[in-house]
Amino acid sequence: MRAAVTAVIILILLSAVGCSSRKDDRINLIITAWGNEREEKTLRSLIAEFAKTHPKIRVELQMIPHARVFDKLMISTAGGRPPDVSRVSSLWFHTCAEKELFERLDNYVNSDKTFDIDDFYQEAVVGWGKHSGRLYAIPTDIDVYAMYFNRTMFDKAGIPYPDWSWDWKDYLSAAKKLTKDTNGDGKIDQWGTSLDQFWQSYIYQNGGSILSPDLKKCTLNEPRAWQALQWMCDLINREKVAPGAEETAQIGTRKLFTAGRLGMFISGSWDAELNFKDQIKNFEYDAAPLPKGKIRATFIGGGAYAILSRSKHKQEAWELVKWMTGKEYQSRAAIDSQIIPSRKSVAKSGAFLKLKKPPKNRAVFLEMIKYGRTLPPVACAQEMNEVISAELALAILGKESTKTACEKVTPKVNQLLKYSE
Amino acid sequence: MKLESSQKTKKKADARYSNLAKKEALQGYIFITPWVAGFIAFALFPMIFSFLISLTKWDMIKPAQFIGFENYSRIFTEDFRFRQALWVTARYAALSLPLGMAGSLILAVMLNMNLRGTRLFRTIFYMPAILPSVAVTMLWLWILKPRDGVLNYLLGFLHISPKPWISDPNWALPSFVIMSLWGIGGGMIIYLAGLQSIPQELYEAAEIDGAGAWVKFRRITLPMISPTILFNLVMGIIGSFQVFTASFVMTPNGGPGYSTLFYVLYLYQKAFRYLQMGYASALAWILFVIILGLTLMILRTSNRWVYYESAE
Repeated sequence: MRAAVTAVIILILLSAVGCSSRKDDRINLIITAWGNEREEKTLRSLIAEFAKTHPKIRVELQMIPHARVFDKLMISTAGGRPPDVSRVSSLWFHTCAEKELFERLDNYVNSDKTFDIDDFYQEAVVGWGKHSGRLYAIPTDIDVYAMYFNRTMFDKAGIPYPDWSWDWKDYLSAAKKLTKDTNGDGKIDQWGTSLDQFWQSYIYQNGGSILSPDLKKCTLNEPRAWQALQWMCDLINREKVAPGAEETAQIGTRKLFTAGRLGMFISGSWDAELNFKDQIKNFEYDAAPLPKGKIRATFIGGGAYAILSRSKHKQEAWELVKWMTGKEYQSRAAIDSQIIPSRKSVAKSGAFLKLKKPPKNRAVFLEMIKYGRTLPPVACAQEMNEVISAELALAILGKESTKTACEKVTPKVNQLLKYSE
Repeated sequence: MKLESSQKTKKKADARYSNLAKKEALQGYIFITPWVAGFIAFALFPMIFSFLISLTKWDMIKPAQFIGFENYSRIFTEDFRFRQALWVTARYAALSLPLGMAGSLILAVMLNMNLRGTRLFRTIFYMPAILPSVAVTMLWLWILKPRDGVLNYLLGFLHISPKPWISDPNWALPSFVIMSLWGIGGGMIIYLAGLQSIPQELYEAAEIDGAGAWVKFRRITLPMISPTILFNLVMGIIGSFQVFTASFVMTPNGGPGYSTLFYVLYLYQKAFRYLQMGYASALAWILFVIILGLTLMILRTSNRWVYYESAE
């Protein structure tokens, strides 16, 4: 017995020694990303191709749920062992860049003749690649919003499809016509539309802003901002063409749309492939531009790849970033998941546009890019967003006017801006 | 002379005793060393460290910056979320604590009546207290669904209109209170132990004197279990000020209008979402002082209403 135990212990020790003295002199790179199963498959096959052309580098992909990536980057950097490369979301890119989590990439780009930064949409490079004028990440995709609509429902109601001529009024009148109590039980069960997931879009469309141009003051208390939000809340509470919290708490607006109970649904291009494809069974749908308010505008964001500043293999990491933002990768992501490429050459090559699947009017997403506005590029972006959303939730529930909500929240945001540098 | 010698022997004896005492003390210290070491390493040191952090601005990435008591002054003078979190937590404690204590006492008294099936009910009532709290919270999310949740369905039988529960700022906090009542089995078990240690003679004597059920409860049961009540009260206050899991699972952002921004949830957000470690540490210390103050207040006043059998 004792001999056996000793033997086991020796074996364990030996195997540990075996691990530490690996003969393999390849360099290990860890890359973190998020995505569903389909995206993960694309990522894995692309990383396998990268390994073929770069035999000296071994890449380990770690998939993390979208909501956890930010925490993971922050905490692993604080703990001293961050990944080498990570996919980064525009929603918190500026927070990370401000804390110097990422390597500056200007020199890499300038000294690498094989890399053409001008091929990328400027909206993306400026929006979630640069912070304070310095380049910290290379955008890989664009998340721009358009309006999906249920064509079958429009046909039944005899309403013309939404197009570039639509403004807020046309949108509302169509929504009114589509909102119905189909089974006559006194409860509405077919809704005209639902709210944009980004309330910021309404403010942009009304010519308003969240922060002043110098990013030092909150401007939500200005009429153009709170009136836009009031228009948004009125869709639920006054016009009753959009489902309220009680309705959406059950299944969410996306499921309402895929179930054929929602006429117009504002979302990104990826929704078609990742959700609609498997869930929409008995109606046709297409995409249309967002209606314009005083001006045409929408939220824009996206993903990028960045090198963590504490990485030990930055040159190799740069090779990987180049690959992950390259043409092959972007065409594959566009084909597999209908993700909008950040490279103009890929977007216009047809990889995205000529896909033989719905929505037919996919080009509208590319056309919306130039109307896109990013969230304010401040370090406290996330905390600010949550503070505003918590107050705005009361207005969306109809518990207070958006004017009150905005007046209450403006000094709170100013406080955040004051302390976050 | 005699006196002198006896004093000498006494001195000698003292010395011997003190030697023995020293030895004994040393042994005692050696025996408690593991505990003391554990306390220093895992409680005292982190506490001191967190106090030092609370005097800095630190995001765990860039080096900490000493800013004195600025965090504290910001919390007290301008942090609306601190005030909201304190208000939410205090209201929650004020509602759930008395209800929970009364509920668990009533259950314990009923289970102490030696009726049939007592063991089964004891298990059933205690069960929620040992289930993993995240799982229980997920379950409650289903129960509290506004449209087709179980609770609204049951209320329908009583002709009570469905409530929006956690999606509404006015109903969110009551939802948490209702949820907390589900876990009163923990307090119930402790009361039950207290009830069963009451000597039967007291009741027999009272019965001979003609006391009814209420008088027996009021004059015998309550005084006899007052130490248990004190224990449950103190633990309950600490527990309800530290509510976290339920709010983190159900309303991780603090709910509409921050109506369920519990104190520890806010502390967590500051520390691990916004990485403001200094600020979060200051919040933690303020919470510590609040709980300490409340506990001391209760212990001070406890001699007026708590009866200790052994003390007399």
